[in-house]
Amino acid sequence: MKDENKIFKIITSSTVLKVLKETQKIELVGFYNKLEALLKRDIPYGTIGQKLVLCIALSFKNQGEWNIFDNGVLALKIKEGLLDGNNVILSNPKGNVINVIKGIYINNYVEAEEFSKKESQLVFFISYMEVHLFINGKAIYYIPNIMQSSRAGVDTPEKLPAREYRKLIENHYNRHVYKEKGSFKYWQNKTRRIFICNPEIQFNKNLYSYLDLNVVDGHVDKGATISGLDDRTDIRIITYENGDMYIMEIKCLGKTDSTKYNDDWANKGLIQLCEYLKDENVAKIGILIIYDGRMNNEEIAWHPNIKWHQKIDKKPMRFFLESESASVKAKRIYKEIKKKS
Amino acid sequence: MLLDNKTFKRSNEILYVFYSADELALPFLSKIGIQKCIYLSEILSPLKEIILSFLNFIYLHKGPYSKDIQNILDYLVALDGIEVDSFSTYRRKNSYANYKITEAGKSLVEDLIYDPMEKEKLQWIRIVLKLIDAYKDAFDLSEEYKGVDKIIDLVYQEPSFYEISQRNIKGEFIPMGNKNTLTMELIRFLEKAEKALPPNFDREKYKLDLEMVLLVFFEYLYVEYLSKKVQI
Repeated sequence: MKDENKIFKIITSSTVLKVLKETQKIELVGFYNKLEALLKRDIPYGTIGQKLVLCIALSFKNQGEWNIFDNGVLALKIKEGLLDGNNVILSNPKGNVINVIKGIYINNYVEAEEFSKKESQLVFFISYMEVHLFINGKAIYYIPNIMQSSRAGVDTPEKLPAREYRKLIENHYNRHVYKEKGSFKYWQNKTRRIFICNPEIQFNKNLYSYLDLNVVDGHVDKGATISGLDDRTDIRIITYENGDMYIMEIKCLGKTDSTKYNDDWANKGLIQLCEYLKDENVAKIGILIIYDGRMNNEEIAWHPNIKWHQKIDKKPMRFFLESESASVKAKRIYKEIKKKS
Repeated sequence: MLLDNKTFKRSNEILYVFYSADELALPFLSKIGIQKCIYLSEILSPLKEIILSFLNFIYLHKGPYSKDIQNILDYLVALDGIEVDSFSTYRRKNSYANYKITEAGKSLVEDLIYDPMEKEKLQWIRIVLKLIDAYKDAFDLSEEYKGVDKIIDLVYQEPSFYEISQRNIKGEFIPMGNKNTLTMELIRFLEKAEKALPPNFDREKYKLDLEMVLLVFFEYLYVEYLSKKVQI
């Protein structure tokens, strides 16, 4: 069958299929398609820049006074202050607004997830270019940057097979991580090199989304259990053709407000990965990915007594996270050059 | 006009498309849009083993076309089953009619569906129309068309039509029905796709029911459309 991988990608990763599976409503697929079009059309003009939650009521009876998908209407309503102090819009699947819920302001995706439990509905949490989708308290999809995302299965120049995992991880770094140039922000204090809370979770989510879209011949999942055990891997790719499994373990080095992670943390990650590989017979390779937020760009001191599993990629990928601006960096380098000469 | 039994059946099916469009609150269907709706309903019908009274579609650059549909539209207008709602223009040159169902047309459908076979046909057409409605406003579809007509971009990617479009022979018949076409190959694959996955996949999770098969089919057309746009 021609395009087998493309079809498998749609079956395993497509958001619209997840929406249909969870809700059994084709109408909500239409809502998703329209919302994606609206965001891609309006976000570049900065009109939908606020934090905004859209919540869909499943009633067809409620006819609203205005429709969020009518050209420019939502942007105009926001400009007029409709969402000042509130940010939950209750709409029907056609986009007709039933009402703006008074006195509720959802600040982050965790609150949005909670809200979707209470209301038992489909909830989109949109924060600038980031889009989260929840159904009945279940996270269905997360898009770090809607402008850079496409549909699962679309051919783009960045698509690569799973065996090119190193290139994929590097591309993700260059496109989304390097100097926080995408929408992904991981520094709480850039000058003092302090990470946001739970940086590994954020890196994990971001890399997962990228791989999910760009691995052409396999399904990507996160938090999957190792066969028969309670351990959970960070990210896995399983190829559609023969089930080859690539396991990725993510570690962040550096400090958060409360904790400091150094070489020991990287060594623990290595041991953890060895354990996963021991227990997962179908694994083809395991790769340790380190996002390095320490003060200095230094190689990791691997403990000599750790026995590297034969399926571990012997070159863990370490990305030193830049926090200096080009001018500050130039000043420092020049100072060092002068000192040497 | 002499009308045989087959023409009556075809008229019913076209009326079901208008009835479903009305249920979905689509204001009207143009003569371009109705061609695409009938084409998709018909080419996908073996999936549900529904027997629609097949129309012959030929390849035209602007999409699959059946001359019988225009005749039937005229006939349904004469019967007061549908009426002309408005006119649209294409590239500010050609104008074409938009139709909608009348109250008489609706009550005719409600009588027809007492027959379970007719009811089944209506249900089938309703699902296809729902999907067309769900995709007509997807991101990046051509701005040249409006409403349901926008689905034309996806119909171009429909495997049987796309194969013929590569030969670009105007007027070539598009094979329909349960034949060995690329469309059927794709549908048959989707029906059992989970079985083709390696054993370490949770195959049960990826089993598709009828609506899901149709959705994946539409999503595939959309993905193909977006992929070709990227290449351009």
